[in-house]
Amino acid sequence: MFQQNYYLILSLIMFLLGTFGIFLNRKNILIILMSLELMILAINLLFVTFSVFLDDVVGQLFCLIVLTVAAAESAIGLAILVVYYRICGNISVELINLMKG
Amino acid sequence: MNILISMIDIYLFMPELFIIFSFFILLIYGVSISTNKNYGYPVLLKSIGYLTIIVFLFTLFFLIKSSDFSSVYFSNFFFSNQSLKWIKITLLIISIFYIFLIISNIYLEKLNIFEFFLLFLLTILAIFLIISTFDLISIYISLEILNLTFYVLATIKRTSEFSTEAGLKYFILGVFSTGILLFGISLIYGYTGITNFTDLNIFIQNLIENKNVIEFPIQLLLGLVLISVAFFFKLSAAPFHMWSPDVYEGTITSVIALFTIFTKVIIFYLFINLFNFAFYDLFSIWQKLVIFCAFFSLFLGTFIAFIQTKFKRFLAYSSINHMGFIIIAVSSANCNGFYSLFFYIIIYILINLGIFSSFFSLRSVTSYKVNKQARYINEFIILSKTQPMVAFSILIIFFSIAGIPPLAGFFAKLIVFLTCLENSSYSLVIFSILISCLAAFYYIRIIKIIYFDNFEVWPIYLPIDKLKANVLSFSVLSLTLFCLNPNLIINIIYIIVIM
Repeated sequence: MFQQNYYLILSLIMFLLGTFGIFLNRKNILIILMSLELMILAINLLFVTFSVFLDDVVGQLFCLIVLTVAAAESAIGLAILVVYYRICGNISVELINLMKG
Repeated sequence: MNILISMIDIYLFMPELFIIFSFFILLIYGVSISTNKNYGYPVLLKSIGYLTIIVFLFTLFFLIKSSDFSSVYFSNFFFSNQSLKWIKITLLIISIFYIFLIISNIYLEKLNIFEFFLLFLLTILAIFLIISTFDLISIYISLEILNLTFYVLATIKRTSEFSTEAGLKYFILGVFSTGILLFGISLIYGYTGITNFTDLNIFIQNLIENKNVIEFPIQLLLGLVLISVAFFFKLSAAPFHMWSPDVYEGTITSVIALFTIFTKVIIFYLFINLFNFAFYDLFSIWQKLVIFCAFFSLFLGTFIAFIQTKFKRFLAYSSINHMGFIIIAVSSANCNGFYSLFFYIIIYILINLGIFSSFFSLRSVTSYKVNKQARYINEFIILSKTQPMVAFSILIIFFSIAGIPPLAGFFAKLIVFLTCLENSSYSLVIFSILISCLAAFYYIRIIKIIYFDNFEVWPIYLPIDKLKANVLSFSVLSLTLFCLNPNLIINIIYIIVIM
């Protein structure tokens, strides 16, 4: 029940779900922001797992730091999305085509 | 008794502490005066710009007067060194030139947000924190401060569609690369349980000594590869370069000057700190990854730059090409390799200061007091007859970037090639010399457009203003007079690398 490999596989699956959520997305940009948060969450789970199985508190400390910084980052991301929406009027992924080549 | 902060921490942290305090004081000054009805809601952009120059001069004074001993501070999270002192001094001088470059341009682009220079202060603070890290946790924290300020700076012109779209793309790919960096750091922490660079060095040395057949643990390798992938994302080296042409084309040119000039130095210094202190014994593994990225960057950067028509996109692909050269210099892990690396980067920064100061001066007058920045390569035309001195400066800068002797760019490429030949990587050197010959074409094409093309309608540009002319002349003079007296740049880079 408490084998380390199970938690590692869970974190890896969450991380891969997050990355594929960015690429296979056809709806809107908010899905991309949620997938990025899912990636960071998978990393947090990795840190806590390693902290438990190494009996070291540094992992949990790092997880707290990552959590606060990721919160600030998602705040900036949502602010950028609001600024983008004010200019373009929609947040659809297929209509981002101003720059090519 | 465990002491949380001691005097040595404050002493070694003094420049950054000064920047933090001045940031807060300038923020209070900016907010309280620019929203004041009695003063008529003034636009404080130029005032805060000149005040940041004064802040940088004071931190320069702090740095020059500080003593030279090497030590770690904040409980082994950061370190301070003589090489760090000199690289901070060069970065401050370059940032003073950067403010000279953009201060009138921001005004002309009608971007009246005074927080622009405060964000620039925060980037300099983040840069100082990044280059002095000594732990995996502080890499992440300092890199995140830089990333967050860059996300805001990329979308600072909120009324432009190009700028917001480019900022959105930069944000998404930036957080993606941060996720990959964190994955790598967590794997290394999970396998070893230590995050400090010296401890990692001792751990890996013992790991390799005790085994007869060198089998590297897969978790360490994967962590290493992921961390270097995240660094290559930030540097826009191929095959992780997807964001840079779009972001370079979209964001305003002042911010692109910031991205181009500052990120290369700090990410390479961080790369060398990490891979030289911590992972030195896994050298044969990361050398292969680095050489693959070098080949790909050189190849991609030249062949896509041929078909570009917009100048900023062209600049993005040419910077990918230069990344290829610099990554070749990284692949040899001895002092000569790092020396050639930093030498190339310093010459590259001088060239970029020159390119941006001449590009910013191309503002065409369409009607009274309405200026438009030039965007296409074809708008460089007939510059030899309308502004001959600027055209001559562009000639020297582009010859230097193409690698024509006796200008400084030739010596930079020469030293990179010589250090590669010392390590017997002959195919890499032959390939990069051929690519450099091909790449010289599209730089000289711009010189042809300036001097030899003829057109019925001549575009007339505003004359270059005084501060930009200072930066342009500094760049051009340092590139031409380098061959006569190279002592200054050589000595500074020697101190940065050897210590």
